[in-house]
Amino acid sequence: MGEIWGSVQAAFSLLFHPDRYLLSTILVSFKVSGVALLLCFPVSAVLAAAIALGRFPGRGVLKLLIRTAMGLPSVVVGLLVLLLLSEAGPFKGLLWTPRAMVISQLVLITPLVLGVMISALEGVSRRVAEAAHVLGANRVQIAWTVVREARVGFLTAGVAGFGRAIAEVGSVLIVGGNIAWADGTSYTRTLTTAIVVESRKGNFEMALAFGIVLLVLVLCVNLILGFLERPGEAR
Amino acid sequence: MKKFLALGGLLLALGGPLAAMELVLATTTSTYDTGLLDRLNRAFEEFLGVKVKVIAVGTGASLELAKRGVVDVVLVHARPLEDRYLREGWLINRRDVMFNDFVVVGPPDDPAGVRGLTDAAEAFRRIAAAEVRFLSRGDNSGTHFREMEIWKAAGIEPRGKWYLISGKGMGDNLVQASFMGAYTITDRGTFIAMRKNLDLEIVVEGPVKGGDPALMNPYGIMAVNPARFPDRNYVLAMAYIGFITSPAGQRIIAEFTVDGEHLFYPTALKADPDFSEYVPRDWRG
Amino acid sequence: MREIIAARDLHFGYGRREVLRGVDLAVRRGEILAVVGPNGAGKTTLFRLLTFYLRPQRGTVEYFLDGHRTPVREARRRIAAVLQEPALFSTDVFTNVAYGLFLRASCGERTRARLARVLQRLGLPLALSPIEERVEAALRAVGLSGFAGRRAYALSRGEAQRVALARALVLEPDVLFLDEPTASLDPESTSVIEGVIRDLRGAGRTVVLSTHDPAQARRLADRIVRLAEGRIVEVVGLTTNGESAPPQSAALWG
Repeated sequence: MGEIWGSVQAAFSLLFHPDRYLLSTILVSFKVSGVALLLCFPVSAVLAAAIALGRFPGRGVLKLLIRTAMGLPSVVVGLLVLLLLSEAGPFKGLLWTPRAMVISQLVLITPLVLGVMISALEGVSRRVAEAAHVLGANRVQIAWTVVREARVGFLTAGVAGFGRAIAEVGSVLIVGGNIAWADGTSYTRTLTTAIVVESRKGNFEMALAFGIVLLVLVLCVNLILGFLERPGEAR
Repeated sequence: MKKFLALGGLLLALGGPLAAMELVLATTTSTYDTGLLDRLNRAFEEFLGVKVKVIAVGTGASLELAKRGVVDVVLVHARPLEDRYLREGWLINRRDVMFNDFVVVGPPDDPAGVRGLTDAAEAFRRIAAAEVRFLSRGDNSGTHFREMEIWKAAGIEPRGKWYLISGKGMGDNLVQASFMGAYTITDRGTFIAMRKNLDLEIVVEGPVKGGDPALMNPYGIMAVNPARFPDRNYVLAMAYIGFITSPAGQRIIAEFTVDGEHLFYPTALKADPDFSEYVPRDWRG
Repeated sequence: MREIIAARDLHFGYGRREVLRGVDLAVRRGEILAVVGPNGAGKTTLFRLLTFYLRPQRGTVEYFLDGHRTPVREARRRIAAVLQEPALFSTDVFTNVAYGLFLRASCGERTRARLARVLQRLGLPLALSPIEERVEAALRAVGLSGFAGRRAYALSRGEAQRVALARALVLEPDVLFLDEPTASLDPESTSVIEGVIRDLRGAGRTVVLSTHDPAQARRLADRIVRLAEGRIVEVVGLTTNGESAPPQSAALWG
């Protein structure tokens, strides 16, 4: 118990007087997960619209696959990406870099983001699509209108995806290598993988402090996004 | 020595383009977590201006990564495994780097009565006979490998409710063993670093303090075979090996302490090198 | 030619349930046509086929807006509908009403409209954009002047349905479809909407509306078509003073 309290104190003192190690790990965490989300979002939006609004054979199977892929453990994704990259000649150089981490997080969060977006779109009344149609909208315009109606759900999808990405350990550990330079700055070490190595070394207070920092930062992100959700509309 | 200076001079001359290259080193968690590698790599960076990417994943994984050609150089401590990869041609140009030792640790009340023994195999026999809890890492690490060799020497296949596998790294394994009051084998360095958080004591000493030579823990460094993986950075890998085994590198290892204790003893420089350092031990066939 | 819509032998079913079993219908230019029938008779399905929201499983729907056959794409641009439920978009009234105009407008026109809107909200109503003016006119026609800035979710059912009507009116469609436009509405909204329909008739526009209130049909329509169990069972043409002309059987079409 005392150790946890000590870590909480260490965490807050770290937060207010961050050292280069902490700052660089925060940067890597946000950079990797942020880019992964930025890449994932538009692609998923288009795919989700196509799946939710379309009618084609195998649609049900596709949705089932997406839902299954949502539950993929992060280590499995990391391992798959590691094996893939190590076989594919020109892409070998991507291993042990933040880019590989972005790739694996992309694979990890896309099913989740897709799934939430599809749910959001399916939650929009069919009357909306019909209203758009009878006012002269074509297929693409109808899709865009439905997407706009589902915008709160899409925001939720983004938050969920980012949350999953920034808090995961398994995939970035494997494809990134948890590398820090000899001077302590992080190269592919995230807040989560830093916890792994510090607790492995026995620096439990530091490990827990990093964990608390992660929680506080995620809390801040969620607070900001909470402001962006407008009440009473498009639910 | 002269050859080393010549190589150094050549590499310094190439320093510009070299700096744009990177070196990927796969190694064990014990070498990395102690902080020794950071110290060595800082010096290497000063020497050549090259940053080393360290992937600390453990012995088994390091060797497998080398086999896939995704790293340049490997520093591990499991001679039988190293020999196998040398024989199969994945890795070449092995050098001794340093050694330390393992120790067997256990709960202070020593329920299996093994304290003070100078034969690790005998201690293992007694622990198995008394069916007192033993916690194994079970993760293909150098430590795990040595543990299995000792069981083999003791003529025992460890099995039963008393033999547990944690699958964890050295530090986590010690913590768990401490909680459970179990025996385990550990490298001395990690134990010293974590001693104050643990409820464990050394029951069988290693050769550094005059104990069982079977607990010797030598580290070797090898380069990934450029014939198999031409896109790997062989020149830089050899420069790194050269640096680690040079007087400068070896001095860093000799002077490295944690809490006043030396964790590693350099072994690369020998007046009469033993040929078996460079090749698989059974190279004669 | 008086016929601007010709629907022949329409069949449609959902799954195994056959809803329309061979409907022939002609809509004449400038008339108010009322489709009456009990719930489940197929009124909404018929409308969905006429607006091309659904494709008939058998039969055809053809438009003749300028005397010759109008291609579907053009026809869709020149018709508009109000559904049984308002189905407004979750934004403000202005954006809802301007929706169809924005679809048909160029990028420049859209930007001008948005700019005009912003100025309007800041209290500087400069007459910048024809879109802005048309929206205001449509809102006036349904008795909702000044509602442009209201959020759609803050409207009553009657107000929402009137906005939906404005949304269609603003497009000045060749044919306006109204699916039970006053069902479950308060009397004020009902009378406003009926007034709009009368004004449309006066202006010579074509309206197809459905209702399950025969009295409303008699009040508003030139011709009444009765739908029952997926077929047209009766067609009644009304004289100007609201009395029935001799009924024609469903087979008399050309």
